Formats: sequence, structure tokens, C-alpha cells
Amino acid sequence: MLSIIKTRLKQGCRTIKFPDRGFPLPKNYLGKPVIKKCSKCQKCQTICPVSCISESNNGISIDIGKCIFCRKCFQVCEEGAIQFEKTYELAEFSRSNLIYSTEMKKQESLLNKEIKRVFGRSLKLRQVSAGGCNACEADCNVLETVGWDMGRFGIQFVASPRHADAILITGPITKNMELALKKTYDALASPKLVITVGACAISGGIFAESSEVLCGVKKFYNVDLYIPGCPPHPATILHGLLKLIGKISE
Amino acid sequence: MVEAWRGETLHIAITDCKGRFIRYKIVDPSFHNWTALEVVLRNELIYNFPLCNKSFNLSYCGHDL
Repeated sequence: MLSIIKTRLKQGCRTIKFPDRGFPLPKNYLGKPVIKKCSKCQKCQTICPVSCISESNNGISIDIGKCIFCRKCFQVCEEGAIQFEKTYELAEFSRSNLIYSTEMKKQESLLNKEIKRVFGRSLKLRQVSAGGCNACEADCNVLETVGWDMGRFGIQFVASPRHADAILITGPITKNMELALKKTYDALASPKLVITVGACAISGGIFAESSEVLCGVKKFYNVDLYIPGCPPHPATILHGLLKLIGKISE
Repeated sequence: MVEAWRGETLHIAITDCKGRFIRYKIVDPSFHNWTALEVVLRNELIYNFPLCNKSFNLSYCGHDL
């Protein structure tokens, strides 16, 4: 007993302070893209494995709802027009806000006051892996550990859609999982929210051209929160969830 | 085909005439064992579920590979 207390005192509090930036992001971490004007040489567009880069008025635009953050585009860019910031705040309420270009005319993501009122103090999530690779799932799972302790904000994963307020979807929605996903969605009591985590769930990601997948959630349901990344950092997911329920602002 | 936990993992690659991949499918033991878990749980009480579920230790992601 004494040795347990001693160990506890030695270990101290292991929970990360959030949203304080007191925790280190990985050395190679890529966050928000910053795009400068360029000559549109199309090298990045050709090399991008998920075709998330397209031309816009002054240069290019990057859709981080598709991007797998493989860094090929900025390695190939001779003008240095593409850079990635080391920020984890990537989650958005609307799909169009995930597209970054030189102009950066972002719609203000307005907090839904009704969501804050209903789910602000308690949000229970049902996770559905619709053909995911376990990367997004692992980064969601880690939020329940002592390090992140999502429970302190009143957010929790539950074992049944009947207990849940929101459905958190990962994976590109394979044909085999379509029915299971629909059943889960229907089993949730209204009002319900839809949260998509990862490039696959948002747009199909690297599986977008496959005949076996249905390329993301948007076709089926109204999505309330998009959390991009391949996979997203746990901080990105937690920030998105807190933003959704109005616990933190931009 | 290689031995994995509670069964075999099978990698199937279909190539075209030039040797490039057309389809690549991985089947892990969970693919078969989810059905086995269903059979095990039939007509059983709910509190047996966690024990059975964790004994099988199936992958949620691998099922649909």
C-alpha cells in the first residue's frame, strides 16, 4: 500500500493540460497548410497521391479533407509555395473550410448554440469503424487514457448507439459496412450529431477510387464536424470535439 | 498465407498481364471468427458477452479488410 502511494507521488499527474499548448507535437508533425502565390507548374498536382491539390486564382488550393499529409507536394515544389504549420487546430464545421488556398477566405465557423445547450456538458459518442485501418481508431482510443482524459470534459465513448448522442465515423465506408452504419445511425436517439474523423471518412482518402468503398459520409448524412488528418493527432480530435460543444472557441 | 492469432492471415493479389496489381485483398482471422463469436453468444446471457468477446480478441478494423 505504501509503495503504491509512493509510486503515485513519484509519477504525479500524467494528464496533459488541454487546450494549453504545453505538450510537444511530434518532430515531423504537419498541420495547417500555408500556400503562397506560385507559377502553377502543376508538379505538386501530378505527384499528389490523393489528388487533393487543385488550381485556384493565384496558385493552388489544398483540400485537407483528402490530404494524407505525405509531404510529397512541398518536397517537389521548387518555389517553396507550400508549407505546413505546426498547429493541431484543424477541425471544421463545414466541408468548404477544409480547402486552403492563397486567398484564405474562410467562412466563420459559427458555434451552434443549440448544440452547446444540449451537449455542452455531456457528449456520449458511438464509434463506428466503417472499413478503417485502425490508425484513426487508435488515436480516438487514446483520448480515453490518463494522458488525454477526455472524460474530464464530459465526453466519453459508449458501448451502444442507444446510449450515444453522436456517431463518430472512421474509415471510407466500405460496402460491407454500409448497412451496419445505417443501423447504428438509426438506433441513435434524436437529436444526434455526426462526426467524421480522418481523410477516409471525409472524402474516401486513399481509397477514393476503389469500387468497394462509398467514399465518405457526406453522401449519407449531414455532418456536424469534420476532423481531417491521416490519421488526425489526438489533439486535433479533442480540439474538434471541444469546439463542437462550445467548450473552446477558435 | 501465414499463421496469425486464432487462424490464418491470407494475402491475395490479383495482377494483370503486365504484372501490375489490379486487386489486393487481405483476410485476417477476424473475418471468419466474427461469425464464430455470433454462434457462441447465441441464447447466452448478456454478462457472458464481455468474456466471450475478449476471449476471441477480434479486430474491429480487420474484419472488413
